[in-house]
Amino acid sequence: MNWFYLRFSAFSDSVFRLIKQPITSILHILGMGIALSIPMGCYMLLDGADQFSRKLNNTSQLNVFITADSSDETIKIAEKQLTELFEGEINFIDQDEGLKELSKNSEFSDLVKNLDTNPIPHLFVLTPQDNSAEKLTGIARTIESWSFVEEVSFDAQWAVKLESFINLSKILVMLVVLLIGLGFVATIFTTIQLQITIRKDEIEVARLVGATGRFIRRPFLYYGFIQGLLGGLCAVLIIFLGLKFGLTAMQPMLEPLGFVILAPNLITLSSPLVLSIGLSLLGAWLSSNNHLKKIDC
Amino acid sequence: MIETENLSKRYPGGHQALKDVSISIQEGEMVFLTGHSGAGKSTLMKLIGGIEKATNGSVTINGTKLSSLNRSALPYLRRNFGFVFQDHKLLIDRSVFHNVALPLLISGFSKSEIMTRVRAALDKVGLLEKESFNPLTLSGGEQQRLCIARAVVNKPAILLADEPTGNLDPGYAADIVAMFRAFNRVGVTVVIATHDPAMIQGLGARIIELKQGELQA
Repeated sequence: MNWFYLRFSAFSDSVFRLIKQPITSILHILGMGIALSIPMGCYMLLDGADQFSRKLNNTSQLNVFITADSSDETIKIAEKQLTELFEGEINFIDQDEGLKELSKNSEFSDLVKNLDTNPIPHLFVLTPQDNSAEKLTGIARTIESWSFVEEVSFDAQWAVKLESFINLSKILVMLVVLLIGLGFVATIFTTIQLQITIRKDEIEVARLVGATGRFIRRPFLYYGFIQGLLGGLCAVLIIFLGLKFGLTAMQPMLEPLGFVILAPNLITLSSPLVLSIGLSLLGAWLSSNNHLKKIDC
Repeated sequence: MIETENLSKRYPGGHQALKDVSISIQEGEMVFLTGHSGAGKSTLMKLIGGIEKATNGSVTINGTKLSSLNRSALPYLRRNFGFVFQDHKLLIDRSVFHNVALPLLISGFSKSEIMTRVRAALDKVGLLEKESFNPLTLSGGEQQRLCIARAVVNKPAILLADEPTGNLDPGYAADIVAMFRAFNRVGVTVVIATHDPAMIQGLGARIIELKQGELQA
């Protein structure tokens, strides 16, 4: 009972101190929420872009052109080697079929009629099952080295660049999160220092009558926790509203590109909350501990 | 009960507040620490109470050397003391009742026990009717009595009072001294630092005199 009473009185005291300065508290919590929501929101958008680039990679195909004068034997060898190397669907279009396809196009039909020999190479179309752009590039390079291969075209090479760009952006956003995190800890540290200054006499008296470090730290940790919780909730609300209204407006433009931002799940939404509470507690602990060390000297 | 051995304190900047002070105070004794301003009385009180650390020498309370205690054990040792200060150190953001309740809250007493003990302590110093008052509304003498109530509410074994009558007129001062005497009669060890000779007269208590940080024979 007393265990609960001690903690409850420290907690209610911290809530009371926050309510006592409503404007300062609201602005501070709002600042925390905005600071956290920007990088976290960016990270979610990048996650959507990442899924988009993966989708592009997965739908990409490798076109392997075999030299036009290759024998049936060479074609069989090529097919065997490709089957061993590649996981996915392999379709063969021989040169006659290729020429037929070309002649269907009115622009080329006259040209095809006048050809003495068939210049179209044999073609293998490779459709990967679940291969990354990076893996496909490696496969393309191997195939290119085969003597009977004229050319390998890889239509999603730009997707590789997009994926690299997204990965780089993710690292940058993580760095921003780290910097904002440090700023967060510094802000809470200063806020708690201010609270400590306000309650300096109380701490001194409490120390004199036998208060432990834990007892003195407790209200400041609660204060940091409440601020972190409210700041985190504010960030979640901003992200939620941003996704709900901002993306609803952008979705018609993004949809034709296959770019779909999924509604954030519980884990995604709770991450700014957890981060905010954790960093606030760290700032409060560092600040109160720093003061305790000073007064114990 | 309280023993100091070659106790010295030098503050940053070089001021030697206390030099080789060795004293022994028995359990249940009442002792006055006297000397002029700057003689080292307050420093000695702070070192005995574990509020400050000695530069040299040792303080032993009930057989425990303060220097051997780690930081986390010190608060528990302080619960054996009741501190009374000249400037009272009262908290003006809470009532008389809650000022006195603080040591009990820290020591982990239950809510009902806190109520009983605080009211008993306030009754003892004549402030029971003012339990809901803010300390700022009390007179100087009442504030000092409130400080005493907070010091004794935990039933400490040792009462340390630093210039407890410093700012009071003679009438209030006599009341305060009588209170300390009463606590001493029920077995509390009382150490009072004062530069007021009138306070000591006629009490028959042992006097320890300090001069420029050194013990006088």
